[in-house]
Amino acid sequence: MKTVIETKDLVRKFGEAETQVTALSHVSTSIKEGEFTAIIGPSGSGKTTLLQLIGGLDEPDGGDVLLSGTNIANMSGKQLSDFRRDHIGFIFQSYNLIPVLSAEENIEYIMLLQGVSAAERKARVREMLALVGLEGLGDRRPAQLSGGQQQRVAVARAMASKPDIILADEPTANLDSTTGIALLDTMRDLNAQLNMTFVFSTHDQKIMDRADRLIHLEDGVIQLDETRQS
Amino acid sequence: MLTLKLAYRNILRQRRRSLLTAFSMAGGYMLFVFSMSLLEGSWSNVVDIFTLDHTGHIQIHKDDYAKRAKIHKTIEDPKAIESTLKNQAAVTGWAPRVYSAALAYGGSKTAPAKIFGIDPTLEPTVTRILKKVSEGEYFSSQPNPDGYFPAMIGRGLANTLKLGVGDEIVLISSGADGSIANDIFSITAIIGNTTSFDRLGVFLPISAAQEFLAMGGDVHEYALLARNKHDNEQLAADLQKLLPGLTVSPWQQIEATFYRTMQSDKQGNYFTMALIVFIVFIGVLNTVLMSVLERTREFGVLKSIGCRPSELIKLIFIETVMLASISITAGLALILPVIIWFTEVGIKLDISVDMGGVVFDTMKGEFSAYVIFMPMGFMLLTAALISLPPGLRAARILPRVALGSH
Amino acid sequence: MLSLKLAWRNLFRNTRRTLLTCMLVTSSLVVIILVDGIMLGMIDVMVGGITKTLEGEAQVNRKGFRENFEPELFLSDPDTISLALATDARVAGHAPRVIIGSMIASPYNTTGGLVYGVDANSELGVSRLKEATYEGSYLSGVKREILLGKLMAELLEVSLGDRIIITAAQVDTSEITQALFRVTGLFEFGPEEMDQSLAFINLSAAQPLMGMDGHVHQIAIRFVDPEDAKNKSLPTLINLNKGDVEALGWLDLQPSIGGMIEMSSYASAIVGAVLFVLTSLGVINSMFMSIYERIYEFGVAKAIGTTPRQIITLVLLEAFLLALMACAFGILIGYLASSYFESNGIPMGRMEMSGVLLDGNMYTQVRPYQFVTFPIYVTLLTVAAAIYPAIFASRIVPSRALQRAL
Repeated sequence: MKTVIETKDLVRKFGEAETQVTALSHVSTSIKEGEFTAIIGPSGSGKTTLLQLIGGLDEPDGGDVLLSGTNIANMSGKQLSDFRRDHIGFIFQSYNLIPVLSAEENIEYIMLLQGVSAAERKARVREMLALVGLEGLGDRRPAQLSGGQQQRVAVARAMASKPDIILADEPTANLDSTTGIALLDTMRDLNAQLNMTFVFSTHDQKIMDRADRLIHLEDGVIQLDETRQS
Repeated sequence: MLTLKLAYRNILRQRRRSLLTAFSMAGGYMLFVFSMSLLEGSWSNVVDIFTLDHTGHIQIHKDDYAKRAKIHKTIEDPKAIESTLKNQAAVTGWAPRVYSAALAYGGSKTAPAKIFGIDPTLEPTVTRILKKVSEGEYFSSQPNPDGYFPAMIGRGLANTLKLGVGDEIVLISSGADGSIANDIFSITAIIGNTTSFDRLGVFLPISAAQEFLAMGGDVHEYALLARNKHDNEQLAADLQKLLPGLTVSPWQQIEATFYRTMQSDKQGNYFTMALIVFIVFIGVLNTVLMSVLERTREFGVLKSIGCRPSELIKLIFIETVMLASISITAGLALILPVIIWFTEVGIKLDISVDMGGVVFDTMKGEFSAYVIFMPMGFMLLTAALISLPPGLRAARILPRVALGSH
Repeated sequence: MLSLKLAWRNLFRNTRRTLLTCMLVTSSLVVIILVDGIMLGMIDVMVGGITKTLEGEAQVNRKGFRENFEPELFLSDPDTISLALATDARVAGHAPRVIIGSMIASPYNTTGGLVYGVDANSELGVSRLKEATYEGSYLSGVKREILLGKLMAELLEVSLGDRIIITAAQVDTSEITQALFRVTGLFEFGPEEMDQSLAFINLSAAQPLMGMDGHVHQIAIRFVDPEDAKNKSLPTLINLNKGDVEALGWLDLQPSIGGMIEMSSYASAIVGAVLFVLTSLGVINSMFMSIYERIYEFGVAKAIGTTPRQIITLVLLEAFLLALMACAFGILIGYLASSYFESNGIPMGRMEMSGVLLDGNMYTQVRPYQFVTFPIYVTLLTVAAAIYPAIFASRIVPSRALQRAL
């Protein structure tokens, strides 16, 4: 199976001199296509930093990030931007969506950026909404959707651009446990159906239990990397 | 397009703020258009007044007669010029003139006077001379039964010499050959009023004037009316090429002091309006910056999912220009009736004002593409420019920072 | 005071926005100061141009003389009038003149114009003739001396020492007389009309030429206090206004200047009013933005018992401090700019209005009230603009505000 994510010796520090904090210290790992991986650890362990570096939202102080074999370290702003657009999907804890656009329009927007034709956009929007179980709610604005529904739209949007990987930073942190689990299950199904690689961070046990693989981070270092049966 | 929809809805996010900003842009636009209309209209009105009163749109002279009038500086071959002019479709009327200073006698009084030798048939094709006859009748070139040629005199001269229609007036001047010119003329009409340009003038039929001043068939000046008064400078340049031995001048050169005064006044207004627009757009900048800052997190997310920096700049640009367009359109709708009223009706001033030698007594507006669209263009351009600093700011947002970690 | 400290610090929570708003208010103040300064400068030039150049601040003429300058309408008893003026403490100077419309001829050309016969000494106290003389010398009592305007000299193609013949008619007999003069000086007042149609000779030469011994046409007056000229009930003038003599201040002599000044004041008032409205809109917007940012805090404040009035006071205080800061900058910049332009002038191009030349630079005038009254207005305006946002802030419902964590 293809390696879609590879990090080599990643280092990331923040701050100056006495107040300097090492968020990640020589983190090396690789993730294969189709994996459903959770990065877990206490707050401050570097989970978000790792995800941001993998997603090209931040630059490492040392080490490399290769996505499907491409080293994203040397990419210019525009290149990186386009790369993210076409190869990576993001889901954040909250405020994923543009508040003035409807669910459909939010999903459509990313495809507009990719230059997809209007007809295809419309078709794919419907497809995505169905995939996440939100048919019929497409014309609602985020404010008219529940937290769980909003996160589903975020998932739909992330999928709509046909990325290689989807990164989610604590996607269930703002949801109650039932909704959170339901969201994870949706993501799991997509992973199973479409072989979409998911990497997400969490500190919720019930969520962790649904992952195939757990990367334990603590103080910026991988303490444990376990693959489980699910 | 989705981007336009997005821009429009973003404007609506903060209704009151957008509304206040829109009001200020609309207000600025209305003031700009109104002042331009007033200025262009008033000056245009004044220009019409004197060009149709005596100057014409273009004048032809020999050499620098316009600045240094001398009786000898004449146009020697009027026939040739007239045939050239006849062939110009852009020239709708032309009138030959002869000028001289003279002393006028009426009864026992004398007064200095200016002789205007005009062609009775051609002059009305250029100026409003027919309308200026306030008493008596417009003349022809024929002498009266007593053998005296007719004259029309200005009101000022009539009052000073206590002469009226039917009286005789004696003119003394020096001829082109150096001799003393001395003759009697019969008054057929009084022209204008005491403030007219020609209040101290004596109009004679040009043939009579040429004879009186021993000028043969020569002429001092041709005044021309252009089909399109706004193109008169170009027409003058074209005519100059056809008449290389003469000087062809548009009214802007003939009444140079007036023209400069007009240009300076207009420039003063442009400057003031630019200041007003500047002040309006400080407020707009404030608004746009605020709206960008509020959406920092949102922009962070957008950049994460692959929105190019240029896309964000484009978005802010469209939002700002869209708001400006809506405001300006609203402003236009409000000010249009006022402009139209001003153009058709105008305001009569209590006291007339002398600007560079020309008298000005009504304020009228102008309703033209320039007046409406120049301010619009200027403000839209400013809106576009003012959207750049906030746009660049949005574009430079670091996703990591925007998303709120570290 | 805690509120004052709080208000001040609140302003700087968002320094950029505060500075932009400050810039808005400061710009408005600076514009108002400069526009006022320009207006004053312009009025000064216009009025001074008329009154100090030749016409004087007031004139005594025979009734009806000014209409056509008919030479028979002379003042029969100028000596009594001069005596009255000489003993009047409000009068700084007075100058008698004979004004003749005549033909002015050189060996090369002839033109018509007004010849002023003046008393060289008295003129010094009323007109600028001496300063305007740029070549040759001012009238000094030499026989047959004549001063010509620059443009007239060019027209007649003469320079110092050349001969000039004046032809005029005697007032009593209407006999034509001619007199020979020699050009002893050239002057340039500025306005074209003056430099091309005026000539000056000695009163003692003009009177015999016209058969007017002991009489003059006009006495021009300069006052110790220029404001006197505008005073219609000034005894100096009223006392002279009897019989067929009229004594008028410049406002009556040149009503068009008054008209122009009034027109300019209207224009500035309108621009000022619009400026105020636009600035207010910007301030309101800015205050709202600052309130929205703190809506959570306002919710908390109200929840713990702050009264609406206290909130209004706080917001108004913030606006007040902003206004003070903006006015401080505005006064400084306004003063620097206005003073600079007072010495160096604003390049405005050449304009001639109502016979007065505004050449090149417009000098502003700096006055104390501009730096006291205007800032007060601007401050009041800013605080008034903040009332609407302040009331809004005071009405925030705590429970709703506390939901909106930004």
